[in-house]
Amino acid sequence: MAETTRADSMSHPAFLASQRPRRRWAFLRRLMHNPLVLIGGLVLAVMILAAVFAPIVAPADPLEQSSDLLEPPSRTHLFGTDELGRDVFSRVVYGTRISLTIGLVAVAIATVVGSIVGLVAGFLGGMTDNIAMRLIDILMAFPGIILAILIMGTLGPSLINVMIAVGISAIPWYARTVRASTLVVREYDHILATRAIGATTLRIMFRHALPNVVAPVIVLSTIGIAGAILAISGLSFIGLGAQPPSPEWGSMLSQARVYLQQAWWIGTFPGIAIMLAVMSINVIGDALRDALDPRMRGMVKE
Amino acid sequence: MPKYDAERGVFIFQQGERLSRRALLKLATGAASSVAIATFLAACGGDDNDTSSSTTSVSDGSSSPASSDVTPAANSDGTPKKGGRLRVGYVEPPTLDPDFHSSSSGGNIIGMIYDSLLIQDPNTSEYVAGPLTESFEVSQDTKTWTFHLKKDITYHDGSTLEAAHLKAIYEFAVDPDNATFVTGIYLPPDPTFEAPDPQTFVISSPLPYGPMASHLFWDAWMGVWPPAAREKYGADFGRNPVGSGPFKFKEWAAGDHLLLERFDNYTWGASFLENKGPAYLDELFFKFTPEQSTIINGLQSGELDIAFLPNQFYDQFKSNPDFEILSRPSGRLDCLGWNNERWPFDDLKTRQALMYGFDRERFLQVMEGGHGQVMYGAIVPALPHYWPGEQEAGPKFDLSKAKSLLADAGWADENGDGIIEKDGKPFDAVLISGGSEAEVRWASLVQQQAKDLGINVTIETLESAALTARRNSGDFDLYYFIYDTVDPDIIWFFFHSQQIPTEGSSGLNWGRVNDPILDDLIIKQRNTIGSDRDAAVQAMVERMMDQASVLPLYAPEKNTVFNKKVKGVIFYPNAMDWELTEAWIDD
Amino acid sequence: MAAYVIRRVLSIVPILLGVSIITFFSIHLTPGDPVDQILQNNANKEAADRLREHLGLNDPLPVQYMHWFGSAIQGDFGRSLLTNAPVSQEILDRFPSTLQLAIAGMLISVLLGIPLGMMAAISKRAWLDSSFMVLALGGLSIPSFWLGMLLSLFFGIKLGWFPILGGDGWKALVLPAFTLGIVNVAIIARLTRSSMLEVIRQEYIQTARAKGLSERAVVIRHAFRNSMIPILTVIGIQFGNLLAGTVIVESVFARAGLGTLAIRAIQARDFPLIQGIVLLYAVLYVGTTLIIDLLYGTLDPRIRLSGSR
Repeated sequence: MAETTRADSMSHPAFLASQRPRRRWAFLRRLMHNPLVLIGGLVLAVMILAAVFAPIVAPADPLEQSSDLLEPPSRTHLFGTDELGRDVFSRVVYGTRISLTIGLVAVAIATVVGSIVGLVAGFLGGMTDNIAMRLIDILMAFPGIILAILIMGTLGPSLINVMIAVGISAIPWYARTVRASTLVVREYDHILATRAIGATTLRIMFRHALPNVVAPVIVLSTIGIAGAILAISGLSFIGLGAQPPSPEWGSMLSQARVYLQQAWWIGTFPGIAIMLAVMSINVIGDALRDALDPRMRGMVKE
Repeated sequence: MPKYDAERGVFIFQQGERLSRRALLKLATGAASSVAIATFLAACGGDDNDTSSSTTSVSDGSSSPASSDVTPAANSDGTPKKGGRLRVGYVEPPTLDPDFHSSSSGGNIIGMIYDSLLIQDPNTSEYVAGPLTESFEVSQDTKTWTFHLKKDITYHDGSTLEAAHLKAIYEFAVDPDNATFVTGIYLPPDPTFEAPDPQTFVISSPLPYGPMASHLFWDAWMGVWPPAAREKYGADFGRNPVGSGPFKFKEWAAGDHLLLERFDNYTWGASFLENKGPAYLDELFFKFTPEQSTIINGLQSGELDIAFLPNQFYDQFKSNPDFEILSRPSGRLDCLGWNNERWPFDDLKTRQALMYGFDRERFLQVMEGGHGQVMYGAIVPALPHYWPGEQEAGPKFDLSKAKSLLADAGWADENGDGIIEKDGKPFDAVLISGGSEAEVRWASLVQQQAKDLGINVTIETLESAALTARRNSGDFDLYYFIYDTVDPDIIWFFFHSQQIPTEGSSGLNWGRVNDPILDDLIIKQRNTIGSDRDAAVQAMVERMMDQASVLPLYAPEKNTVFNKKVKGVIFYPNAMDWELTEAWIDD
Repeated sequence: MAAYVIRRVLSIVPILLGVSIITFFSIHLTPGDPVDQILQNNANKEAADRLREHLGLNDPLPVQYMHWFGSAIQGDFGRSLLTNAPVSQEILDRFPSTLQLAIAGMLISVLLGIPLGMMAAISKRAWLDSSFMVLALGGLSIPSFWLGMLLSLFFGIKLGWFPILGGDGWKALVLPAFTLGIVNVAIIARLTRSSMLEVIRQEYIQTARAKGLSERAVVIRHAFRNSMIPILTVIGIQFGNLLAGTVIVESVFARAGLGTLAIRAIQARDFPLIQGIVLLYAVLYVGTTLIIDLLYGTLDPRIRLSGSR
């Protein structure tokens, strides 16, 4: 809506397209120089490593219960134990797998579906565009949590369905962004030229228009992953998240609520993990956005 | 001492009189048949409930079990001061209408607004004449109960209470056209109500009704209201309740709080109360707090005075000098329920094996911090006609025994994957549960312990309505079964085959127990009063044990936490209700 | 211009219609029966069947929808299945609280975000600039319910400065508003910073500098004023996000708002109430974006002419 029309009036993709090869190097270099990005990147790298090498990094089985209930952090249990005697550190480590996967899958769903809808709507215009945008509007008018509950209610409780629900709620943003970029790209000379020689619409859409809308989508996706991680922890709060005994950070936080005063470690460490993951991804996303297009810095795209 | 009226063959109780076993035996030697005596023993709700006070742990040395052990220690020191507002952390009830509320919420609020015919004496656990009743009689065949009402009882709207009102409202409750779902289901089946004069009210039923006293006690179910008020408010009666209780309705800010204020004309409190009315407190303020942790925070920040305490916070408040914890007997039982209709839980031998397979102590420790009692039978000590023998008779936790019994039932781990199989099918079970922290914790325990037995349990957490739908559909294997009640008749609601939910139709027998012998035993205890009922309840419990209809785990202790300045709160032994007429705030 | 306005206003109708239809059918098709929720442990076949009939739940779905729609058009949104109170009353009782919270939250976002963004924009050192932004980012990254609990614990219980259980008065609003608002601080800060940076570069600012005004005057008088437009836009858009955020915050602080009502309604499958609440959220969201659009249209003529939005 408002912000996409603003994007129309700025001609960034054309500039980008003509400058592509040189720009790529420049932007990566600029990225490297920002200390914040380096730190964020480091944190993220650590998390990814923890996720991949979880069995080695974690000292205990995240699901194994014991009779050492609610033990504070110690040498044997770095982050203490929870209400069922499980090692919190191991659970946080294994949790990276789940959170990162959820973020990626949910965003992948939103990106793919949203981009297709946006491309088609933007390119074809007319009635298709109208109907598509109405549907997108309807989707946007639902408060996020309520939409998620409705979807989960229909699909049933499972981690996959959580990813789908979060993915679906995010579709409108991608659809709008891609559509906006498509609208602009549609009018470019080289696209008009390709049309003139008779290339099919589909071919034009995918081979020519798509590459030009990649930039804003990348930015959206990066930040979207962070948003998805937060959204899922919010769903866990209502009890719609990952199924027990899965060590998903959000559900760990939810379970820890009642122990906040007597066993602060159960919730604090997953909470910090969420914060670090979300922040580092956001920092990188921000930097990407700055680097890809300085003029986009003011846009609200999350 | 009650008078025996030889002509009518009944004992007459005056206000405040109770019947002890010894007194009755004395009378019996000179009186009529032993049937009448046995009948009356039961009519008082059974005095064997003394055991309930002694088995429950009482904290903080509140008082000794023999005397009024349900009142806080400070009751005797300091004179009660009039005035003040008691702030309670509570869940918002959907309505305050005694005929249309669910029994899980609002009962404690509704109970303040209305009065009942009978009441339970906290000192002796016997059911005696309630605030409305001067005296009552039970006929020899126990099918007719006659209540002599006190004079000059008025409602909050000023009108005077008459027996005809009781007749009208109970007939309203049982009339199918009114679609009520509370009062009526707790009254005896096919009842007749009569009001021969303004001070006399009679309930009769074709068969003896075992739970009569325990059900009539609870004012949240059976509370008396003026028919004119319902006529006046119609569908909004639930938002404008009118009763005769010690507190009257003042205001309800939806979603935020409910306010009750003292009914100044109240003088007809139950006989055992020192203060029969009006209440000391000016107002009762119920602050709606849906989150457990928020209630706890509210107590600590000083915004709340009293709340029911989930046991995982017990230690937090025990060590806090500003607070006092009051234990009360628990009418609640937590069990592992299974779907008796679905493979492999439809196999008796498998079920019986599982009865030995779960560590109740661990459940009690993890779920309630050890506060409570492990249970081996389906009825808890706080309920009338509890059979103490069930603790001896029930199957104890023995992992190796459970495993060998499973093997006897045809289970073995053929492929070495840690899961046992039978007839080529692995032992997979789906456990459905709500998403609250406690339920998730409980489900995780079940899953872990099942794993030790070689059973693969998958947990599915569902939100409230989806959970109910799933339970009704029978598409699950295991579920978290809890009851919290006043009478063993609860088994009728949860385990009689008539209550099995079917397509499009509700019912509480989620375990889908379909056992004709058990059905008969359930009906038998419903229609028995007296020590015969003891035996009937025992037979029912034994059958459930034998058939492994459900796996009882533990009876959690019920604790209330309150700011030390709150005094005089009384809890009834059946643990469902409290009395605030004598409560006051020592500021 | 008038045509544009009318076109925009009319475009709301199909959206609201779509929302109500999707909500109605999806909530009815989700497993779960309001009758069971109402009866709970009083469930027995006869009572349940009677109640179901009494509430009209046995009619086919399209009939039930038309029934609701017909009354809704006339302003009667039915009665809550659970409490039997009129839906409009249930919603109106709680709406002011949610609105208060949302506005207070927005206020916090703005009061914290704008200065933060400004400081970041005018700071000479890159690390200072980054630090401010990271601070803002922190607010965006923390799960709101966790923040709420921590704030309750610290400022409510340990320090006792603010009440933590809903209620009236501005004091009760502080902690929940902060919890809600802090999420948007980053967004507003970022926008303020970039808008200001843009504006600072522009020529007429150079002119002002050339005229000899102090740096501070330049910043405050010109840069700030001109960067407000996009900021106002964002405020309007984020209001929708804020409304969604109230659901969790209200739960943590026991506030009687639309959020807690919505959760309860969905859990109880209280169809008429759900319809009413979702419709209200939709109206608020769509209405806000409409107003922003119209304002934007008046401010920037280029927008009105381009695109079918």
